[in-house]
Amino acid sequence: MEFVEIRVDSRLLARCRWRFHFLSLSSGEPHPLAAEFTLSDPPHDYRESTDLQLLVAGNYVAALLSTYHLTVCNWKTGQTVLVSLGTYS
Amino acid sequence: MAFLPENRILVASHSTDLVCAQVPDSIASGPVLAVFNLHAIPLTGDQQVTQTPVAMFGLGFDTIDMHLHYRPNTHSYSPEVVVPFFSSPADHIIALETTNELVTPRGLGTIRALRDIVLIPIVKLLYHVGTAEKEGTCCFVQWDDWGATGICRLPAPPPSLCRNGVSGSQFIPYSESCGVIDVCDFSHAQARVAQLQTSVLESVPCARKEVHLPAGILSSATAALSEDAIVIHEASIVAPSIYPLIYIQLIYIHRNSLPRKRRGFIFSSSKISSASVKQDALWRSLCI
Repeated sequence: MEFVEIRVDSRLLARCRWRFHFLSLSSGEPHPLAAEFTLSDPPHDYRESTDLQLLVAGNYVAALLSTYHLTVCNWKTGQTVLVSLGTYS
Repeated sequence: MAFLPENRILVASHSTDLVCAQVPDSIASGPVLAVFNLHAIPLTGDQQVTQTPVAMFGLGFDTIDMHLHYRPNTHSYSPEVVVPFFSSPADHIIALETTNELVTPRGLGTIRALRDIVLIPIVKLLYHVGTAEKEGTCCFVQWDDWGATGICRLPAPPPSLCRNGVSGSQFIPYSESCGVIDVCDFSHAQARVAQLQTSVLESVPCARKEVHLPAGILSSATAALSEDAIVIHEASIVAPSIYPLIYIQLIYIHRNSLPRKRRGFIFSSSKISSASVKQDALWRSLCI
């Protein structure tokens, strides 16, 4: 079974772009099955939010900024499968 | 948010934020749980689409904040494999942590946060979602039709316990008892599926068991629950008159799956660190 780790680079907030890294826990290297994609950047006010929630289940990864935006992607294909606004949790 | 079986996702939101036509007035302005089917529309590249939920579950109360907690069993087994301490996916529960504000009377203006936990058998949600998916339309389910019976509502434990206190069909509720951790087991919740339409006000049944902590553990210890174990973390200051302060962090693990005679806290690790110098490298393990 493969596992996925996701890291969010939040340095240089004013100019930062979010990057999601999908790593293999068995090797620590970039996961060979992960697609390259980037999610839309949130407004500046949300970029340093500590409320970012990430959840992985199977092929899906969900990224939620509480009360603002939920995006669900297939991390193997890069497809965005769901966008929902205003989600709390 | 919580991923549900068969590529669905459950979110807590407000109906006004969701794309759904003809929302009934009864849930139009209130908090809801919404289920999306991730199969519905495959997209490519940067294309993004705001989807319509498959089902929306109205909450019969107002809340200013919501958090969903759900942790399925880490390992999956086929139904033919009997693992005594693993609950069936049909037994799993979802915990909805809600926060509300209570303004004290007489206009004093003091606001207290009231936190509750609503424990929902996953089969209750999937029952309605399955019906909605067959009909192919967004299904609106009002609180009285799904949540007024067959759920369990409890005072919320501290936030750290809400996050880590749910596993499969088990939950660690708020407890005022020192030295004891209660564990609620809802593993027979699916027996209520056939009675979902009943109008009897009744909480979903659960079995409660007590785990007695080793002597000396403070009530401020935090705990995390997994399929067959409770992990307890305790941080305490020893010799507070000495500088730098010495912190001892103890981790206890209680496993339910051991034979009855060997049950109890079987293992602990301790971490010692000082306030002025990071000495986090010192770890030791011992059997107790």
